[in-house]
Amino acid sequence: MKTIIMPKLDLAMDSGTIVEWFKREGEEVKEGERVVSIMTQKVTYEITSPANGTLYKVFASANEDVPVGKPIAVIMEPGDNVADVERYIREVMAEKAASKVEIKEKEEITVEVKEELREEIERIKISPIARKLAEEHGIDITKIKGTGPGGRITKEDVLKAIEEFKARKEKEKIMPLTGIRKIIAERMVLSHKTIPPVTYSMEVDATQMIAVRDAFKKEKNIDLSYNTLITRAVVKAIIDYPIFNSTIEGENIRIIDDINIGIAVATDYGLVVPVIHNADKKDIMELNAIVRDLVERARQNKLTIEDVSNGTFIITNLGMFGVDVFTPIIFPGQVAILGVGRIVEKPVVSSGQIVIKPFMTLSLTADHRVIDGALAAKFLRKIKENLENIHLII
Amino acid sequence: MYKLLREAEGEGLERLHSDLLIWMYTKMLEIRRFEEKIEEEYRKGLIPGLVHLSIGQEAVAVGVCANLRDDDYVIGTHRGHGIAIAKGVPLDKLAAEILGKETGCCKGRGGSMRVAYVDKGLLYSCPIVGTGLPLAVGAGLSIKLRKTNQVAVCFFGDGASNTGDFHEALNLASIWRLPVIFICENNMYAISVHVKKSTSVENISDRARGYNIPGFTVDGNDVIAVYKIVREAVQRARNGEGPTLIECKTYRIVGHGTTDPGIAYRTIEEIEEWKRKCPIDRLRRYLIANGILSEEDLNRIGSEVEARVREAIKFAEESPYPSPDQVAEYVY
Amino acid sequence: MYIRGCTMREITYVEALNEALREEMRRDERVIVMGEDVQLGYSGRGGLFLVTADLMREFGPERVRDTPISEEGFVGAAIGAAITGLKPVVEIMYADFLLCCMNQIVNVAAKLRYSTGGQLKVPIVIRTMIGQGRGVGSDHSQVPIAWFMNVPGLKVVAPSTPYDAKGLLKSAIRDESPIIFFESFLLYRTKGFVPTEEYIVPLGEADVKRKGTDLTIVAISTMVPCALSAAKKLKEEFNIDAEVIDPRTLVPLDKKTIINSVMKTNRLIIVESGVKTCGVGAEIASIVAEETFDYLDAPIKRVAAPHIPAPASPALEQLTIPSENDIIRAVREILQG
Repeated sequence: MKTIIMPKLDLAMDSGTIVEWFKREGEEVKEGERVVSIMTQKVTYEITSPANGTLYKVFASANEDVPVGKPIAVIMEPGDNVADVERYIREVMAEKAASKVEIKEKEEITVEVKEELREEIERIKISPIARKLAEEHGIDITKIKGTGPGGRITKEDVLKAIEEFKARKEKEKIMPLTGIRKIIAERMVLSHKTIPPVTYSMEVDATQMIAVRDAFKKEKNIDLSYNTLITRAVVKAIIDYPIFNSTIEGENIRIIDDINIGIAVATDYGLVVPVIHNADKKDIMELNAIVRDLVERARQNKLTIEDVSNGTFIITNLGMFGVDVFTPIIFPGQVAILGVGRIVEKPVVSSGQIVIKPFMTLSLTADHRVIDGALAAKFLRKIKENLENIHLII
Repeated sequence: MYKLLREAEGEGLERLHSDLLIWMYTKMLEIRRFEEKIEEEYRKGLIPGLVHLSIGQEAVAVGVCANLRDDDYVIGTHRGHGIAIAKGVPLDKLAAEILGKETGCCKGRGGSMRVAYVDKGLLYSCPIVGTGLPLAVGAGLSIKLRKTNQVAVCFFGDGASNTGDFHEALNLASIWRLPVIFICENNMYAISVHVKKSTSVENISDRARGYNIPGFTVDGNDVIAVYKIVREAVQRARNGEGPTLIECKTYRIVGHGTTDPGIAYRTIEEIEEWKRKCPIDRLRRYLIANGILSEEDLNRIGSEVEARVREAIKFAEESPYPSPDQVAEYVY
Repeated sequence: MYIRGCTMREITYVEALNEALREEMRRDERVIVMGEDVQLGYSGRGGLFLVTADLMREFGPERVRDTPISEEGFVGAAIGAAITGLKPVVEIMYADFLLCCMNQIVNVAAKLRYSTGGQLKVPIVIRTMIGQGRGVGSDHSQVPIAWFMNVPGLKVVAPSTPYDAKGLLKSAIRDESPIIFFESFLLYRTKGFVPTEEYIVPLGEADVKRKGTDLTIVAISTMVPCALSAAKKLKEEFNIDAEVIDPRTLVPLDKKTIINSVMKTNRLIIVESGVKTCGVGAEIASIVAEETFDYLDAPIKRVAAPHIPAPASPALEQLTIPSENDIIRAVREILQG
């Protein structure tokens, strides 16, 4: 008798999910023959049979999550005593049933804790108008001591707290989380809650970018911005890897036809992301004009709703602030974002000689629900190639 | 035709009677045909709520109302279609009311049991048994104080004669000598309870004595008898001689309402016997026997009546329901 | 009290009502008065409490009509007269006796206009008296105001001062809907200033009897003078500044005045001498909770009679009628705990 257990396949793995059984109960298996596939948080593995015999009993069906080390199947080998095998199976089933109960009990306990918490919150006695005033002025009612009957927080208590808050604000320069700041905060929290992000970075040789810029300046007297060139490189990469221009809708991934590139712009009033709509349909001159116009209007707070709507992929450039590498956060509704670092000269060995070259680091954050590491790397490399050969694609 | 009759008052009695009799026959037939159609509409599911038919009792409504002017007041009952038709409510407005339509005489707010048509003096039909009697007393008081020579007539059933309202109303009308005529349509059953089980007197008109007013009992299936006795009461009322109680003994051939087969508490024989006493057939025979109308005339009247009823029902069916945004109209 | 251009004199609540009846009967010959003992009463002048005093002398027995003890009958008759051109003012001696004609009031008067699709109007005023406060016992002391508020089609009026009593009775008589007009024995002998000149008080307008900032007291009928004296004490002894509102008309109710006041003071107490359960206060509290919840700074409180029939013994009866102290206690409870 041999048992197949849920193997630990990864350092952080504490359970695995059954994907598919290749053999059914009662079917013969040979040692080394694949029996079941298991998925961890990262990869899918195929498990092979540890012995020759019969797949006698399966303890976990497809989609079931099993803790590491727990049996998932029993192989009966020739010469095994059926009664022994059956007894073992009963033991496993009993343990499994018990563990389920345990989980259930745990859940109940959690619920109880929650209930207590809720009561704790509700136990704050506060009059309706006091509650409303507190909300309107962003006052934390848990910090107010009620002076009304039974310790109820009254209107007067909240008015007092508002006065105190105002006085403190004067002193400490407390800024309320309002307007664009509040929106940014909400979106970033949403992103953090819902998107499993992975950031990948890669160095790019910026020699060609600088050369192209200089050439445009010299020959056409046009200031080509780095953002224009990066946008161009990204658009071309997206055409090759359209999955980066997609969105998750419920259980589906929808690839979006329009490539609308958002450029994150830091302004005095906060971060805004104007969008270059259908960036793939613009030539380099158009692109440059649009980028410059959008950035300018963003700084003047003159963007329209259309200017900031329907972005599908964002480029965020912190190069001008001296940042090399960072981990951009994906805007909810998108699946990736590209961070751009500063251009810095570095010594490199080229053809046996040490030469100085300008380099720039790209940081790509991708939603792991949609995009696995290898794909992200390929996409990033494509952008790198595009930038290093930017003269060929403009 | 009825108007003609009024203008002819004081002329030769015989002439007067022919027109009156034809009018009465026509009205009774209208009520009968109308209610038969209403029952069909009910069976089709086109009528909300409760519907109480007066099939068999037509002579009371018609015999009484034949004495009334448009400005005389009538309070009807939940069994009020016949009273409404006899008092001159247009058939189409009545049918539309019963079907709950905006074109009904009460804009569909009252329904079958609460027909009112103030233009013709039908103030209200009171579906709470007995409740109408004090209202008629009040109408009589109003007549007296305004010094007009109208009369107020209240219809009610044998069941109502056991309510406090009946006794209070008779007393008030008597002490104030009001021009009120109380018409008891004694159809012998308050739903399923026979009048003998519920009522202390042999004739409900006996109760008039207790209130010191004239009381009469009349064959309620004889329209001529009803007409004559009410004519005297109306004259007394108009002359300021006070109220009268008139009991019209009759019978509803059908059940209490359209949901009552009407046979659990009475025998088929009893029903058949009363069918033979049909007030319409009786007047029809009288008209032929006295050479007032021929079979041909009567058949012509019959088809005219049927056409009018058909038109009215059609009007009601095709009329719109009241608009939802007016549900809160007429509360105050 | 002073109203510009008016000569005022002090008269009782009963005298004010009597003036209203006389003026309206002179003004409109369709107005008649009917009820038990309205012609003579004990005094020979009319009415057990003199509300109809001297009316028969002036208008005669046809228009001022004694009725038998027959509430269902004569209220029904009044309704019948109202729908055929008269404007009857009916007296029901005690509010408890309204139950003897509940059928006519609720099933007929309240419904006629609606059920006839607007063909009929029922211009009838049913005057009645809350008998509470003189030991007349369980079936002569009820305060059934809320019962009638529950009936669509009826208007409900309950004035607390001679000025309001006269002005509202005149408005009620001129109105075309059936109206239940609650008077109160405990108010009958109270005095107040009333203009010599003619005036009316429109239905559906509350009156702020006292301005204040700390809480709103809505008081009904008999409880208005009581609430005012409580407010005075609250100011003097506890420096609590109560606003006192008398709705005067319960249907239609002047929600706006009450709500505006509560939005200002953030606190509400309703005082009525009727039973608390499903009372007038329950309705007003619900309206305020529904429409101004966010302005409340304390629980709404009702001061009302307990769920007990009125006892005859004076020692017990006073326990069933809210007092000045009950109001003060309630106010301090929601303000100071």
